[in-house]
Amino acid sequence: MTLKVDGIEFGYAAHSTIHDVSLAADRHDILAVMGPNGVGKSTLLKCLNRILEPRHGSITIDDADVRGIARSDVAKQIGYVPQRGVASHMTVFDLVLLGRLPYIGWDACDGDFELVGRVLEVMGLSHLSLRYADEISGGEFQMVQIARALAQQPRVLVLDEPTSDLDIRNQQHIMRTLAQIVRSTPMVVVMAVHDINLSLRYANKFVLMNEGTIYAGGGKEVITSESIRAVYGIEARIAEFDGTSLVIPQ
Amino acid sequence: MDAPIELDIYYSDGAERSSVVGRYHAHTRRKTVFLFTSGALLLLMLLISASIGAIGISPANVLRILLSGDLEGPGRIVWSVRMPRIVGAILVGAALSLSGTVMQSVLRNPLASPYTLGLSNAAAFGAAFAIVVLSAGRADSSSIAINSPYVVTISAFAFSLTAAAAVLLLAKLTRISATAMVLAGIAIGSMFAAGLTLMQYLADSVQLANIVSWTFGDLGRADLRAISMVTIAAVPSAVFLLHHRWEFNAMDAGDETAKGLGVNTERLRVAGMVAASLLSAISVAFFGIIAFIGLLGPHIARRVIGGDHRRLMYASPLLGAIILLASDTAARSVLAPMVLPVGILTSMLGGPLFIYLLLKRRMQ
Repeated sequence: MTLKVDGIEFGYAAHSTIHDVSLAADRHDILAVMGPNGVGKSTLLKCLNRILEPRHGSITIDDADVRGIARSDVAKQIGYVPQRGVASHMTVFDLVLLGRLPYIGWDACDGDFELVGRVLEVMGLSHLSLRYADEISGGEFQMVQIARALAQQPRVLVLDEPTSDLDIRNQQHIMRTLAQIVRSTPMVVVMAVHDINLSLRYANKFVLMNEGTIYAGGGKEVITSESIRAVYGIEARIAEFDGTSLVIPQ
Repeated sequence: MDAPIELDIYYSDGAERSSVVGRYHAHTRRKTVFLFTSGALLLLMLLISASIGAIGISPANVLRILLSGDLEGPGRIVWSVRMPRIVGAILVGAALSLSGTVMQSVLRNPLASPYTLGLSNAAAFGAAFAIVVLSAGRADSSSIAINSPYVVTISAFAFSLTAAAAVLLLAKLTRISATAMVLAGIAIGSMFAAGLTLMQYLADSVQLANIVSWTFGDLGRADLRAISMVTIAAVPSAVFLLHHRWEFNAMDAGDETAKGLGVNTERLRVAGMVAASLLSAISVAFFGIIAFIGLLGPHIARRVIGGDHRRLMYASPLLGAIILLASDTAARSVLAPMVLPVGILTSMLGGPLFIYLLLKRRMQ
């Protein structure tokens, strides 16, 4: 399983929001997309599953072009969790079942219900399955959104700042669960994150964005004092603690 | 490091039914029971409604007449006087309620309904326009009557759809948000309200009486023609909306989520509004303004069974039909032998009931 993004450009009229964006990831990878606010991280993520149609470039999953196929077929390949999802007055089970939408004809079948049951168990949400989504906590709802995306049986899971509104315990819980799932599933996770230290701990590939394009991409080695200065404009020191790199702003 | 979690979402091995799924199905069955209970309640309401009137016919007798198709004596009253009105109430109640359900979802606004979006005002203007300018209304020797009901109905229908099209076009051209669409609806509605006032100002006394009596929603206008026309417009719209019930659920989770699930949100929003507008425009054109059903039906249904359109799209029209049929039965009997237009009753009772629902939700 390989995700390849090659020379993506998106924009309105003469102005381009992102340009010349290329990246690649293999199965079991967690790819963290980082950069300052407004640099085009969300735009890039939305281009991956064509919520926004890129003007140029290609996106391929195992050499099959995502841009040439129907929306519902894209949804079978790529699961997407937006930065701000709306918690509607539906039960958690029904919301996760919604992830089966790309697959169903007139109605859901037994296999769909079973799969949702399994996803809920894996995500530790079984006890919430009959609660209404607008009555659970923010952290729980974020887990529900990820569960819905997993119910799409995606090969690429795209998450737009999955931890930004959560407390430290929920941040850990979500990232740890994701890391555990990715390790056992032929899947790629692409996520936008602000917390560099959180991504250093859980991601294995990194992309730093600057001015609508990619400044640097690769393994842990791309997170350096120089790259932090170039992208964020701040001075920072990189330290090692318990085998994990830490970025400490000066 | 943590042990990897085995997520076998890629293999459907027919594993035995997990307890989560079992509990979900039990939960779902309760909602299905609610739907069937509502259906039974509607049938009961039908029997009661058909038994009430100037000549009392027992519900048991009504049942016998309905099952046997008896057209003699009381059978004639049931079949030709009471049933058209009852069927009209069920159809219009269901149509307005389904229409409100869809508009609230598509526009992401709990206050969206055929009435709040200006469709009703536009229809009233259309009727007044036909009565005054196209002189479709005139005085009979003995009573006030509309002499070309076709012209009035077509004009009301056309203007109602025009209002819906204007809201949609505005949304399309300016890419305004769903919330702004409701505001646009209110603005367009008030323009038609002003137009209605102008028509009333220009009308002579007979035309004025015609306009006023048209504006009150009245199920007394139900006849075979009205019922078949509403059915012809309602059935395809309802089937279309039901077919897309999963997509409406996806849109309720936010546009980006819906797009990520493969839903073409722009197209569904327009198609949903067209179908919903058609449902309400045809009802208003034949029966006049019946307020609040498009709010009460969906809101009570959501309260009881949740916002899942897979069930809401059945529960909401069922409740709308029950409410309108009950209201019309009350409107026929409270001041008997005088028959009140049901539109007055739904506005009078619907307002307070709606406020009560809002307050109750607030308390919780």
